[in-house]
Amino acid sequence: MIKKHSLYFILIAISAILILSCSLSRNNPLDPLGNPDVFAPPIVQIDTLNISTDLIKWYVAITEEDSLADGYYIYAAFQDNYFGTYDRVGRNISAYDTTFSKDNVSHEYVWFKITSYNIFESDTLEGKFSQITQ
Amino acid sequence: MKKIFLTIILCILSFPLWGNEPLDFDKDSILQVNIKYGWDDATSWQNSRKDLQENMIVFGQWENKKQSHFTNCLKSMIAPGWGHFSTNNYLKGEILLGLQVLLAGSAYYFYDQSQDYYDKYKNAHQIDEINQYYIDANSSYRTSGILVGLWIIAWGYTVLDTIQATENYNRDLWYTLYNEYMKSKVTVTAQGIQIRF
Repeated sequence: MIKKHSLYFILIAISAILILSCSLSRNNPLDPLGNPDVFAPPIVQIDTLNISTDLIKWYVAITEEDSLADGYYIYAAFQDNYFGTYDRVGRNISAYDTTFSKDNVSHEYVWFKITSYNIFESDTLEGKFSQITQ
Repeated sequence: MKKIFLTIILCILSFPLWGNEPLDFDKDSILQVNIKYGWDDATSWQNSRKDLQENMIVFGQWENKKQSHFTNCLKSMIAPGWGHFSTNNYLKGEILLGLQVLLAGSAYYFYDQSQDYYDKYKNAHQIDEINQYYIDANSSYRTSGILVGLWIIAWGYTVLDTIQATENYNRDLWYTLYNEYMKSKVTVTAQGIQIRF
């Protein structure tokens, strides 16, 4: 026979477990895990085989036409090493425009990284950052 | 004639006065052996009655001074530790109060942090940031939930322990009052003044 005090304690423990089972909802409209109409933009790969002194080239590994990017953002950091803050220095508005001229950004040391983006109902969702190149 | 008749009646009525006076009243003969209380003679019966009367006097004082479980539990529900303080259980009250303040404060801190991350998540446009802010927000939210759960358990324990604390207080109060009564030589009660030797 369970004592009354034990019963109260069990009820409190159950309520505590119920609280623990709660989690936040994914209600960002650009979150692919919360909105099935949104998909993540393709991952950008820097084309390291065709390194040029004045041009960055990249490509995206896609398997379906639907996952084409709507464009690309180019970020740059002006410092001796690749750590630090990257600022957006360019934007390509075509999925097929996959180059950026380094001459557009003049500095002794410049580090670049690229993201692709897709537009969903006037909101822009950026994909993962590429690897960093100099 | 009337005088003679009255004298005869008086003589008849006075016969018992010349009868053999009975021996001492044998109280033990009418006292049943009480197995439950162990009263096998009149002395133990009288002692028990005396004890009962003394207990009833102490009980009257105890009834006035004892604490209510309900009131103390209500105090602990409103302000953690209050019920324990009322029962002079200061150390335990302070520990439980401190524990609950710590848990509630930590829970609020992590909840606030989770809302901060959640706002960033809702405004993020980059897939890595969206994922990272959601993980951070959810992690803080769950930590907050765990702390709230622990707080609820601590709160429930405090309320339930108040019952035991009140029991202990009332029990100690009984012994204190009983010892005081037994030590006191003069007792004033509603029935009068009692002097103990």
